[in-house]
Amino acid sequence: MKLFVLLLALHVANLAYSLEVGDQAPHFELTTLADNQSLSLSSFRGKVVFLDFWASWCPPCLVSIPQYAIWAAEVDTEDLVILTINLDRKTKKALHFLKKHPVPYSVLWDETGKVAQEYKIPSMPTSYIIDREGRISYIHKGYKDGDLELIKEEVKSALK
Amino acid sequence: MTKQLLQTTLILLLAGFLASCSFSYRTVEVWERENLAKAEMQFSKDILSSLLHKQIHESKEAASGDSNAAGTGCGCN
Repeated sequence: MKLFVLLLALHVANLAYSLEVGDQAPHFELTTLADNQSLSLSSFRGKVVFLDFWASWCPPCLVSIPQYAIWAAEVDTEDLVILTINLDRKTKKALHFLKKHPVPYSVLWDETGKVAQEYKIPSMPTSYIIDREGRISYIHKGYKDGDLELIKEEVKSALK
Repeated sequence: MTKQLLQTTLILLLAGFLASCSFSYRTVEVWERENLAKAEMQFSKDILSSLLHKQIHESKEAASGDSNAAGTGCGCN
């Protein structure tokens, strides 16, 4: 009986677990989708990082990516790094999409979903703002019209 | 005595089998829903039209629910 209660508690704790604002952003090292170059989160320590998880099969993601591209062209990259992590199983569709909608920031590929698992992303897409100390300062679930303005405001606060 | 032992063994085996089923249960995570997001996996080809029909149906019947299942679709938004 005790074992059953323990297993049940562990299961419930696992279901309830997700990253929250103030948590340390899990470290990752992934390769870029286009040219297979290795990039890690820790290399951007001291800068604010906007991290977005997306996939080519997710319609709201396909709306957000071109808008992030326009935003990225405007921002000062000295203080802010925009990174996106693609979660497609195969790169073909994502690369085709990026060919049609080029982006000025790095697109990483999480082939196995390991990083998505560590971040326990609650919906597609999900974006995180990571402050200069590597802590999560904002989590944005989903994407719809007008969300970019909200994200920009949160980034401004993180940059202060 | 032998019959009782056999019954107990069978019950234990059945319980073990059912327990193994429950432990193998695993949710499809949102980033694993590539196949579920495909057009051929949807109940309706025209989602807007089906939503309109659903609303008409619900207003005519004065009842709603039972048309969705948790955890399906692409998990977007």
